[in-house]
Amino acid sequence: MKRIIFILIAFLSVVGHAQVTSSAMSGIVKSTTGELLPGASVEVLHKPTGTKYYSTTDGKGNYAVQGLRPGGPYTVKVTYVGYQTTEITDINAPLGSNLSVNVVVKEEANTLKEVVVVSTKSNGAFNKGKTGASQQFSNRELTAIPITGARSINSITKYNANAGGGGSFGGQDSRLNNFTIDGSVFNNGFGLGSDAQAGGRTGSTAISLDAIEQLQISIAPFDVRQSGFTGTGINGVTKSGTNEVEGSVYASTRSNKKEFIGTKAGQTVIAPATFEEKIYGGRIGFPIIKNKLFFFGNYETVDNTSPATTWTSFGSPSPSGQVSAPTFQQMQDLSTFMQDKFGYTTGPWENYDAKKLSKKYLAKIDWNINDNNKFSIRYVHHDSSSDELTSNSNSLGFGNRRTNMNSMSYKNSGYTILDNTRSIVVQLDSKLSNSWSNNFIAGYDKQIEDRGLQGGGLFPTIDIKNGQPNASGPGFTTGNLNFISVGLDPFTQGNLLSYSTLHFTDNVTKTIGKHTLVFGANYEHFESSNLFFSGSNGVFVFNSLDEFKNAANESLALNGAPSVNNLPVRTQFRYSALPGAAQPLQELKSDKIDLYFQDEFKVSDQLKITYGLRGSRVSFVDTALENPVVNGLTFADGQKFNTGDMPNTQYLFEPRFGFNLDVAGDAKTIIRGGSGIFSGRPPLVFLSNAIGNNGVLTGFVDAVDADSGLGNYGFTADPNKYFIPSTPTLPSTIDLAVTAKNYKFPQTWKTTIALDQKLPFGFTGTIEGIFSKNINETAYSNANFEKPVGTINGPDNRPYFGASANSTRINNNVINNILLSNTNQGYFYSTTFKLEYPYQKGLWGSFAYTHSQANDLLSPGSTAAGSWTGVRSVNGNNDQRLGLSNNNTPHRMVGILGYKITYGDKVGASTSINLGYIGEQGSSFTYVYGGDLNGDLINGNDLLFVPNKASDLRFVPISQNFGGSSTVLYTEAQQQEAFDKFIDQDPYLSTKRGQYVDRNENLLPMLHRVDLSVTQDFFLKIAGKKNSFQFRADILNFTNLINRSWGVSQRATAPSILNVSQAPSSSNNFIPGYTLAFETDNQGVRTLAKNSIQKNASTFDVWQAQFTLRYTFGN
Amino acid sequence: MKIKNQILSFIAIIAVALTTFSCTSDSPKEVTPLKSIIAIAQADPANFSILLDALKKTSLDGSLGNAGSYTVFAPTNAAFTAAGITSASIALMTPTQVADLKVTLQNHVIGVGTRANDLLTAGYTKTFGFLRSPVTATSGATLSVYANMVGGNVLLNGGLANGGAKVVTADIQASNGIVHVIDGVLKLPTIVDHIKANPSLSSLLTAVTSPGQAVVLTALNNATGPAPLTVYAPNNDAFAAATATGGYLVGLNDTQVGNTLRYHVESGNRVAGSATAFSTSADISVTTLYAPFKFTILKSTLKINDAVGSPSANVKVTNIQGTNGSVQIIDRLLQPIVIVR
Repeated sequence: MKRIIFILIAFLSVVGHAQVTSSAMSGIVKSTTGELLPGASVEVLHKPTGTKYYSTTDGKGNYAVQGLRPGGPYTVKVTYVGYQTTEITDINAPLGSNLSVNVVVKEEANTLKEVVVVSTKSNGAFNKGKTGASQQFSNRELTAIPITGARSINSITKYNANAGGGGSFGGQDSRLNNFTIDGSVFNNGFGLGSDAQAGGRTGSTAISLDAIEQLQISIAPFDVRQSGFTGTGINGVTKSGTNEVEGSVYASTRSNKKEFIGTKAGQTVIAPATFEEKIYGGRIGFPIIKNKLFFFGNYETVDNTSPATTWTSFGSPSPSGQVSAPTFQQMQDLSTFMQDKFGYTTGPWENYDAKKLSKKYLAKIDWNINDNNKFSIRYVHHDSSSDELTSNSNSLGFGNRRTNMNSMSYKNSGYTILDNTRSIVVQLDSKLSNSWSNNFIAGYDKQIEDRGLQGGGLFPTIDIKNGQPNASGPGFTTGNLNFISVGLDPFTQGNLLSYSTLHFTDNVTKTIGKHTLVFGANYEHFESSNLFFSGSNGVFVFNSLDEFKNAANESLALNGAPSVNNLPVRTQFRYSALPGAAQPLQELKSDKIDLYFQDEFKVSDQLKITYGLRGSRVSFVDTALENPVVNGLTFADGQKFNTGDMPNTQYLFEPRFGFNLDVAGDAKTIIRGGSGIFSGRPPLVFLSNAIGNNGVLTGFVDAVDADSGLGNYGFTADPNKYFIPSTPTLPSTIDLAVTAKNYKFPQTWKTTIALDQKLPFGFTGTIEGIFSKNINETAYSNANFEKPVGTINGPDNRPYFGASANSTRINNNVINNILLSNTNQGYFYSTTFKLEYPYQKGLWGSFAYTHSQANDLLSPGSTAAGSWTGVRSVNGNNDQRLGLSNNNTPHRMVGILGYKITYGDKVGASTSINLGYIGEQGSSFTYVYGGDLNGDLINGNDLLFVPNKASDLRFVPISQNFGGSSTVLYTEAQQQEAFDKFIDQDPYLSTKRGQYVDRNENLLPMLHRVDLSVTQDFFLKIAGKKNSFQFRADILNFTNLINRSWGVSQRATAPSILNVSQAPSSSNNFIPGYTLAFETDNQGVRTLAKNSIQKNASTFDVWQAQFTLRYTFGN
Repeated sequence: MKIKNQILSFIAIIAVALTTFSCTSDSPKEVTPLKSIIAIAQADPANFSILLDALKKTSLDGSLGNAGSYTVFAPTNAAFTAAGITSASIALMTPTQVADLKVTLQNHVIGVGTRANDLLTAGYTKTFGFLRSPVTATSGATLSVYANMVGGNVLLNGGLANGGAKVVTADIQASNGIVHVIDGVLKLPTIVDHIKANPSLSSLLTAVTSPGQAVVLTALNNATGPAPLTVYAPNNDAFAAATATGGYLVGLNDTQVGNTLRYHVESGNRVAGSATAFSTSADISVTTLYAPFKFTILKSTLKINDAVGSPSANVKVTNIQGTNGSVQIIDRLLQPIVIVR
């Protein structure tokens, strides 16, 4: 038999454009003589599922298939009459890529029909042919990266070179990322809490990492189909069932025991707090009908238990080291009293656990309806809760209710936070004709973040102080500390939040020769409903236990009516001011319609360009309420506001252009880049704030002592029944948040340029630069903030605002009127150097260094007032200067190194070792004054002035009190000397003598952390099926295990280095008196501050391990 | 072979990475967080259970568990028992007794973490105890404690015999200060106690306690918090000069000596405003118990000019505070009148 070897040249490149949930493939079919072959049939086979995609080459030999499942392996088969049937196997199609697979076919020899396969793997890090900045995480990386606990997506995405602290990307707030799974929205879209992803409020994730096939991070993709972020897009796709039955079950555990956690953080020995976490999970994938219908399912539960409080009562039968003042007997008596008199169960007060629970399910069906239509449906269900102790806040009641030496509370005074996700998405990929294809996605995602009760039910908050019966006569002495709190947390009743997104996307793709055209449309309907009705359960403060019991008994004798003779010392009650006492919900409804067009033009084999335009229309349903009082007020610069206004309907445009140039046509050197505008969604709490803070939703009773009518507000267990005034009266002083009529969603203009170079020894290198300019960034100002009344005196003579409510307010009955608007100030740039070693014979890795800078005016929080007061300024918070962002991360290095070795055949084993490294200089801090220097009634917002010499400033001696008698601890001269030394040792402050400091200029030193995961598999093949048992250890901060000094983080000693002890006033000629901040060393000894930074010693600074056992059936 | 080589190269890469780290690190001395003062006491109930009960009864325990900088003279259980204070007696105390106990305990605490050697260098240090005027006051001029070395021991306020105590164990380091264990409960020091405690005032003590000066001693002993006295106490050098040949005191009778001593006492609790002056605004004319004779404290100094124009006396130690007045140590005897011999 004569064997003919065909020489096939398969040029394969992955020319990217990023699609959210699928991949694409295109290329040219030509003969060995270079003849472009029209009408050749191309079959693309997804081997695991037998899913087939067909195309036929056009007049110029071009073919294209759309809507491929991400991953693979794929086989491309080309048949053409008179030519040899040719296959290319083992092609991997990463999520969101458009692979370029060119096939050269040889004329058919008469003798044989033999197929010669040239196989070129495409999963190398190089050659992706993308335009902008993006990164793929394959399943290999997802399973290799060391990770513990709830296994959040952030633990993976932080290995992107452009990531920053807390999940931020490109110097933007992490809430300006867009996180989608299978095309549906998994953001913490409302934006409360610190985590940017669904599940974050309970420290969990809505979807198990075990169910995710691939992840993609797109900081600046120039594909107009990707939108909804100014930070980064994070797109994931879930796994699918295949023709093989495949399953896995696993159990992980970690705790505070010595096998799981280190105790040595540098010089310091720590005692990790008690906790235990267990994770159970499993996944299964199988064909319902081979090659046709597939199922994939995943389940995971995370159960984290830790002591709710480590404090015990005085005289407790099982005491801990921390003893609180209330006695065991007093706690028990009050608990019995509440049960007997009110039927209210307090629950235990000591030695009970707090749980964090997370249970998640995922089910997915993939259906190959026919060769032209592929359908999938996926459902995610996540319930999570986190037990929390009652709040310590004194904004209602007396505060300081728990976990201290003076005060205790009960379990049922606490609450649970919920973070539940329901998400369904369907996708239909259709091939309409050889050149037309369609991709349709529809989804509904709902987040429920209500608060739940611990048990015991609703009851007013009762803070009982440590007063005593008065020896000299009737009555009680005034306690000055909270002693026991009973009843529900004051911020829990009526604390509801749910929000949902309904979305439809349709992309029509048309290939004409070298052009791939996309016409798309997207509709998104967002709804949020937020209720924050704090104090609606009633809040009472009593001087002493006996006073409370007397009032309770009197109220009960009056059949529950408010007590008349035995009164609390303070009563607070918030009630609905809406007609019919309706719940004062803040509702936000917005609609976003996007239309877009894009042409991807293969100018030549070497050059590909994309250009496109996306237009969005954003509108809001009128859910705001008008406050007639506000209509009559005039604010700064003559502005008028109507709280009933919603922002105008807005139109946003995103033109984008990208290119990819293969310089020599050999895929060794690629220059790529582009420029374009990106529109994001703001955290929608920004808009909801204005709907909530309009002064017409609620009224508030705050009765203190007899003079403010406490007689009308005696104790009762049911304030709703007795307190609602017959005609609701609105509060006379209001706190407002408004949104500018022309407010627009955030937009940035991003430009990137990059060079990819193939290097010797299989390495590839990338240099990439990103520049991003804000177009519409979030801006906050206070439209009710009055101009300064003068200046303070001394070397720091900044403007002074008078330090009274009236002097800081334009309208005295308005506390703040925080205006949300836009600014175009702010920019970000970064340069990344990256070296990659694609997977070869078990070894793979990458290393990247990024230098970047992010600048903005302010870094917003989640409430309007908090965002504005959080500004740091010299001339008052309405005078904001461009400065370094809170998300600035000037230096960052990331690296991953993995190695896997397999031995044996039918019975065997494999070992893999993976290291993850992150070195970053993030966590900047700013020197400010503690307290209020400029009389704007905001604490901690005044940027520090660094004196030429500390003796230019007036210091107030620091005294120490012991039982009411005090002596001077540090004199003025001692503090001046210490402050001069502090300035001299600080690398930034020492350069700013005689000047004001700027924001975020001080940086903590580089922190290097190496994490390790080791897996050991034993497998046994039975009937060709692999059965494997795996033991896995994940060790975070692994190097701390080798040397206790490594991986220990540092913190700023005292950013509020000077406390304003004596505020400027006429009595001191407006020369403020300061005290220097303290420093506490790692032995617990306190001195005047002398070091800018100190070493931390927490469980975050020692190694932590998690162990996992896993059984896997199939691959 | 290939696999083996790969393993070796992998290990090599890790080794290089780790040595890069190790270049920058040193093996540190281990430190453990220090206990707070209250935790130190709690760890030794055999010695400090009464102290703890007393602190708890007076609500002073919290401060000694918090961050801060305190020096605590900690009397042992034996010391408390000897002073008639037991856990049982504390439990039965009336509010007035609790108030007394509180001031006594406050007098055992200094507001700076001070080692025994530093106490000796300073001589006098202020405690949180205070002169009570009126008796129900909860703060006032803070009391002084005197430390000196006698026979190799650190004595406080002159030791046990003088209502003071001896330091048994010095310099126990706490996170929030230093503990010195003492063998007695420090009595709240009076003017006379302070004069007795300081060896450099022994001549004055001899003079005041001589039989002929009983009136003066009674006057000093009768002073109280609400009716305090200030003693300008000539030190031994001053007395030596005054009793040497040609000295002022030579040949004076008891009445004259008594008058001279009373010339060194004024009504009220005078306190120097700063370490360098009693007053920066004006000279102070001091009316003495030997009326109508006065002397003058010069402004912006610690100098005293007597009525007869002797060279100025210097106040060497200011503001030694007792429960019934203060002591200012001076280096010359003050002369109310010219004695015609």
